[in-house]
Amino acid sequence: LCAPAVCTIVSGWTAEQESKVVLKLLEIASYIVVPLAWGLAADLIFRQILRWRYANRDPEQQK
Amino acid sequence: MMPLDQIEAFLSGPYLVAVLVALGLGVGVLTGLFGVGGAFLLNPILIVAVGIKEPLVIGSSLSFTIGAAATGVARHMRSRNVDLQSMVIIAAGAIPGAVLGADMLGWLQQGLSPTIFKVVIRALYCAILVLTAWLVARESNRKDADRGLLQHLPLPPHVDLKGAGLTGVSLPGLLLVGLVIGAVAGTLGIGGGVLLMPLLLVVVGMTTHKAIGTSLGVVLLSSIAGTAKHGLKGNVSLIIVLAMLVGSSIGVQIGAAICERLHARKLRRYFAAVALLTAVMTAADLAGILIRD
Repeated sequence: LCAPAVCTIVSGWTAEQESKVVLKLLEIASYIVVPLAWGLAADLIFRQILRWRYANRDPEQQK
Repeated sequence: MMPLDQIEAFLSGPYLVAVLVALGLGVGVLTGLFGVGGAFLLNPILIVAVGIKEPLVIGSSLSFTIGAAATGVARHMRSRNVDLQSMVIIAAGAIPGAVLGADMLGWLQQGLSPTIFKVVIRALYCAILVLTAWLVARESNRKDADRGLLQHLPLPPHVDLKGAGLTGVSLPGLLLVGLVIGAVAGTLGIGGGVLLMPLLLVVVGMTTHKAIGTSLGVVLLSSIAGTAKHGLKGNVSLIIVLAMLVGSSIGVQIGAAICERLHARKLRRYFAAVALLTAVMTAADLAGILIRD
């Protein structure tokens, strides 16, 4: 899907060159998106654990 | 993705992964506690103690910082410790600064012999850490309500940072702080939080807790720029990044929880001690290079 779009921007490139560029861009994006998603997901999970722990506390303790 | 057995290190397989998880946990606590990405401490340990090659360490630790800082920023945002306005302004200076710094690193590498290059980088590292420790320790007697240097700077236009509770802060001054941080971070391959946190305290005049949260936000943005630059050269290993993130996800929560309970003055003293300890470690490595070569 990406290769024709790149081809229209950079005319004169071969299909091999295009796929190399697209793969490199996807690789760089993975170095950014994977840790970012991990960090945000970890925060979300911890927040849910804390909420769950608070909700299951003894009502006397909550006072 | 680079397979685990292709990573050159003193350890291999599950032992290497276990050490990376443990390192991530320790650095995660520092991230949540002091608002630093942790690369300033992580890089020397990964190079000297774990034996991973320097370019791979720099790229991977920057990518790791994105994840650790994202968890920390989300946690500090809920505690209202992040001033988005100053974060965006400083990052606008830090991102071009980081690109300039990475180019400066390339020029130094080309212009100097490998030994002199190592000596120059480590000496710069030591100087930055000692300056950081001194700035923060000096601040221990300062009240959080005191004004920062940028509020006295006669360089218009001046902006009000409502989230940080500061008025009349010089906008070019803020951008310059970002540019300097970015250039230093790009040259040394770190996120820059270790120097930015004290500058937000002394130069911008933020309170300790706001400086920690906002510094993490800038580190997150500048690490994204740095990772893209190093990723282009293939200097990032997602296995190293993910192993360290497993540990740091827990560590950041512990650090941020301690941060909320600690008094600002104590936080500053502990931060100065960690910076000084890392400077001593780097100085020992520098002395080793000078004796060997």
